[in-house]
Amino acid sequence: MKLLIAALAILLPVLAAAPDTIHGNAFGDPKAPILIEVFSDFQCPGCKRFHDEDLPLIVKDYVAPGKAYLVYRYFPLAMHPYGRKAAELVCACAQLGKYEQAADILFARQSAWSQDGKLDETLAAVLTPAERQKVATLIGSPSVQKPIDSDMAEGAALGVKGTPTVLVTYKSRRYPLVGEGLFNYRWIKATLDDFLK
Amino acid sequence: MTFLSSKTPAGILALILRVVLGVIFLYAAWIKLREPWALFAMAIDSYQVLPAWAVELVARALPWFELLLGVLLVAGVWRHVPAAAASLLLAVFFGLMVRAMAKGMEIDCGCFGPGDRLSWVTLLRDGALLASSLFVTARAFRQRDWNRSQAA
Repeated sequence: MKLLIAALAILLPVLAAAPDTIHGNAFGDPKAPILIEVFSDFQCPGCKRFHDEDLPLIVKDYVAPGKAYLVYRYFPLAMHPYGRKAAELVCACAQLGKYEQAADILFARQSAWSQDGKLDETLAAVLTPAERQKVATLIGSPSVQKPIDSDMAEGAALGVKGTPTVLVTYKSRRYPLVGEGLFNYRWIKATLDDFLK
Repeated sequence: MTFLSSKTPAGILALILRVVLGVIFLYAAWIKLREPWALFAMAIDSYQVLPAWAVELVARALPWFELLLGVLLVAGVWRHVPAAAASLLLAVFFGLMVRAMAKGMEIDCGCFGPGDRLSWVTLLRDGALLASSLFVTARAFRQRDWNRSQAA
C-alpha cells in the first residue's frame, strides 16, 4: 500500500477538484478519459484482495498518470455485521483527509475486527485523539450517512449485486467487472489499454 | 420421406430454429467483438476452468467462431456441420454454467457481453438454445442421410 499512498500524495492537489458529492474517496484527475468506480465493502474478503493486489497497480498505471479517475463507492453488504459501521468510520476519516490510511488499516486487520467488531480500536492506530473525537461526532451526521446511502442507492440502481464490483466508464459507456476474473490484473490492464489505444 | 420436407411443421420449425440460432450467434459475436477482448477474458476466467493463456486464446478466437457459425446457420450451408458445432458449443456452455451455479459462483455468464449475470434465467435460456440446437442438428443429420440414400 506504500505505492498507493505515494501515488495519492502526488495527486492530493487534484483531489480538491473532486465533485461535492465525493469526500476524500476519489483519486486522480476527474477529467481523465476513464472513470473507475469500485463498489466495495470493508468486511468483504474479496474486496480486501482487490484493495491489496489490484488497486495499487491500477493507481500506479492509470490513476497517477492521469489516465483514469478512481472513485471508491461505499457498498456495505447486509450479510456483513460490521460492514456499515466500517463504511461510516472510513467515510468520516475521508472527510479528515485520511481515507487511504483508514481503508488500509481496516483491510489489513480485517480478519481481526470482523471477529471482535473492534473498529474504533483498529482505527486508533492511524488517528490522533483529536481526530478520533471528530470522527465520533461526524459518524452520525448527514455528511457521512448521505454519501453511503447515495452510493448504495446508485449501486442498487446499476445492478450491483455483490462486492467487489468495478464499473469502468469510457465514452459514456459503463462496463461492469465482477467475478474471479477481476482478480487477474492482466485482464483489467488489457481492457483499460484497449480503451486508451 | 415427407416428414423430412421443410414444408412439414417439424421442417418449418427446424428452419425457424436454425435461423434464430444463427442470428443469436451473430448477436453474441457482435456484442463481444465491439468490446475489448479482455472483458470477455475476465468472464471466462471467472469460471476458473482454464489457465490464463487458454483464457486469452478462447477470448480472442471464440467470438470469430460464433460469427462464422452464425453466418453458416443463417445461410443454411453444410447444415449438419454448423448445427453439430453449435450443439457442442452450447453443451459446453451449459455444462460450465451448471457447474458454476452448483458451486455458488456469483459471476457474469459471459454469453452476451459484460453485465449478464449468471442466474436461473440465463441457465434456462442456454438450456432452451441447446434443446433447439439439438433438434436442428438431429434434423440436419437425418436430412443428410436421406439425401445420401436418394443419391445411392
